[in-house]
Amino acid sequence: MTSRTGLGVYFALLLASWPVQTEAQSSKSVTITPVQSLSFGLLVPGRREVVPVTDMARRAVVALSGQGPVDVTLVLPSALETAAGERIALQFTAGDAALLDTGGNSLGTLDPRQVNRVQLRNNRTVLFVLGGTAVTTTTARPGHYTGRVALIVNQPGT
Amino acid sequence: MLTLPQLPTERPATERLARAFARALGFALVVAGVLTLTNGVARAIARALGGALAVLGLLTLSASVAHAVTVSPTAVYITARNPSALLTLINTGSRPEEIELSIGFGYPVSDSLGVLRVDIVDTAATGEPSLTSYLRIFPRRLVLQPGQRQVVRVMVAMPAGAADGEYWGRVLVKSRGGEPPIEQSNGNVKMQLSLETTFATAVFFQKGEMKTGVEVGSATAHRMGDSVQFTLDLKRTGTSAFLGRIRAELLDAKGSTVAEVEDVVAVYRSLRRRFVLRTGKPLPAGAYTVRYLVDTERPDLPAQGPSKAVPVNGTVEAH
Repeated sequence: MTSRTGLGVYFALLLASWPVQTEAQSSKSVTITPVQSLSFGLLVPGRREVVPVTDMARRAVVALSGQGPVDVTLVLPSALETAAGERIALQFTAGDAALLDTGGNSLGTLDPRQVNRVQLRNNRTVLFVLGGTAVTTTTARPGHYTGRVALIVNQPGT
Repeated sequence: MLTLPQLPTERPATERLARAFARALGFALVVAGVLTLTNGVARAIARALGGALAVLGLLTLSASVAHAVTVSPTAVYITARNPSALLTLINTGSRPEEIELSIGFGYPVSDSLGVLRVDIVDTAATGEPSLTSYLRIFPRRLVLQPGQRQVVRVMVAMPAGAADGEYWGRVLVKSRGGEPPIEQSNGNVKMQLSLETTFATAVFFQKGEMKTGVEVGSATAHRMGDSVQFTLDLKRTGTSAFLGRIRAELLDAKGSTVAEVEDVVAVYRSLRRRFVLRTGKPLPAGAYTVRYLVDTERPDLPAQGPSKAVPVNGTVEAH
């Protein structure tokens, strides 16, 4: 194989390793990637456990990529519950969400209780992160507590 | 005490390394191309690149995201003449992805402050031109292997006697990922907070001739410190949703534009939009006017999709 042919092959390999990006150009598309869930870690009965949006290990993270604006809405649970109805209250306030670039730099603080406009550019990934507060009572009982955060992405203006 | 697991952070070291490596490789490739033209060292460079590519491949494989779903297009238009359309889903992650598709109804509404929300419900209120009873999706559940794409057919089975007009619905593409395993401590206490993502794709079904337009009910502009708050009340006319954009400019006494804002807008029935026009520095004393334009320029939507309308424009003085 000549050096030119060899380079040609490598160019072809490089181009072939880029399938998703080239396909996404044909029409508007959005990629949603749930990266990690919100994790409160150690909870002490009768105390509040706050997960700030800066807590890399415990905050929820969803990666978004595409082109153009998207509206992000969160459906937030008011509590974690057991099947028997035992509850651990959850609180979300303004500033409990943020937008970051993949380098971890903040692109702005968001209110998770509102619809948030996220501008996507050139298929670059931005991270939507969510913190929150869990409030246990002193009488919190053992059980299997579950909850669900739903993140809805919608093209604005539709 | 309860303990929930701590999941990996969003940026593994392998991914950072792979990205940096890819950039370096791209640069090396350009250099190799230049060198090939000027002398004969390309063979050595090609060997080095070959090894580098193999390493890159391994790194990229290990660094790829676990869950990722791409949805395209983000709005679907269907007509009575051709009552089906396609939605493409791609798993760009590294694990199989379980996807569930469902149907909902909802459109943007606003409160008195112009804050928008879209309430998506299973069943629309009486009188709404809902598609939910007539939308068919196939398949409804699927598993996408990594790199796999799946075309989902969206069909409308509208009764023959249905009235002309535009009907609305949403296809909800739901996927779950990043779900922590349950961990227990101190006896029988377990906790799990899962994260579910849904992409809501708007579906429009048009039967008969479509016509849309928008009327400005009121337009006000209030000076607030170093900015001007502009509020526009819109009401849709015609038979189909008004999907367009709003462009507003803040003009000083000389007629020069000192600030501007533009946003997309969807008026299904009526809508209030509020914008803050800022110059980024203190606004000098004087008279200011807001000039606005509402039109149907939406290059982000399918060309054959939204109905076109006559642009509406006007001006309002800032008080």
